[in-house]
Amino acid sequence: MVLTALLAAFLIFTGFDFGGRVGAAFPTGSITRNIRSSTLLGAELGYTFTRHRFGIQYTFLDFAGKQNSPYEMTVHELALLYSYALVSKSNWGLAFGAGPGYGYIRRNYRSARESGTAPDAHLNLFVYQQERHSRVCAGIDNIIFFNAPANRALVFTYFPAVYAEVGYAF
Amino acid sequence: MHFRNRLTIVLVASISLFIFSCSDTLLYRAGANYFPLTAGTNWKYLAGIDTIYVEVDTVPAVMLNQSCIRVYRNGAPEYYLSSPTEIRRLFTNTISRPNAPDTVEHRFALVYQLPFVVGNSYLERFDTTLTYGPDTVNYTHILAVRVAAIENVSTSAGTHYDCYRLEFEEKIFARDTTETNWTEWLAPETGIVRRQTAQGEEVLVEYRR
Repeated sequence: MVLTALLAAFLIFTGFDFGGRVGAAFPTGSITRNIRSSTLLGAELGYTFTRHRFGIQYTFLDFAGKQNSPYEMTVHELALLYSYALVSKSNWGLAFGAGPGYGYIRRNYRSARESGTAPDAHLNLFVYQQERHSRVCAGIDNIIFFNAPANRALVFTYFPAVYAEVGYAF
Repeated sequence: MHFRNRLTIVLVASISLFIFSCSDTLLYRAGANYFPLTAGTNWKYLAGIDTIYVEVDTVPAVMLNQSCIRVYRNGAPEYYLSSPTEIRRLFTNTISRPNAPDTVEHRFALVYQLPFVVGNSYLERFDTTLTYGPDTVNYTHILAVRVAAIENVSTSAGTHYDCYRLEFEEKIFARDTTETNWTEWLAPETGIVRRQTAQGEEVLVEYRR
């Protein structure tokens, strides 16, 4: 009984990893009128099982206004991700991932502030390397936010991002 | 309950949550152009029984050695400078003199600070002194603007959603003091859809791009 529990715990915990991400995100479309590219900061908790990986990910983006304007737009986003290793070697691989997310967005102009939320989707492609307890990956993440204004069809706000991640595998 | 029924409930709840949560238009507003000055754009306003035609000229203009956009308002030209962070308009004011009026102000002044964020307020001030023989006139022009709210505006051209309401307060101190207050509603990708002044109201009735 104890042995079974220990084995189950071992199987559960060995697939987990936790890491931090840094990168850069770029505004596209009409939103580029007012903001510049942003630093990307984030964290991810993942569980890998053979070629499949499930993760919960937090991302923070901070877009500064153009021409030294005091305008600023920040995004706090939480996403659930599923990824599949298209190529899986002994200690590295290439994976494609997708998942839904939800963002809290804030716009500031000096002391003036507007805030709101928007659902989003992630589509990413990344390479990873895992050796013993260390997990490193780098890739491209596409974050697509959805808005539905009253008199228009669905409006997409797309932020492509490049990132690198360093994590600890249990 | 069967697994398929549970799955259906979860899917319907997820789609409902997604559609409901999409209605927040903050990112849409952040990317929208609230003062489009595209060449050839036309606006038609109704002010009481008068009709006001506004059109962006297709030919670029140059004023004060700067390339700018000419907009005709019932045939009278107005000049604008447009950048990602602001819209400036050419202000020309004169002071009466014994022989002829003298230009005291001729410059591009800040009208719209972009992008609009509710609660933001800004002020543009211009000071100068005009000397004419023994007569000296101190001239001050102040334009204070407040981004007051986000509202929907219904006109005969339709309902305009996500409009920013801007409150303007203009003061000119010269020999006399002139104070003018007005309010504008600007709609995304359309521009001014309503203007409320002490004299009356201008409402958009037609818009063509």
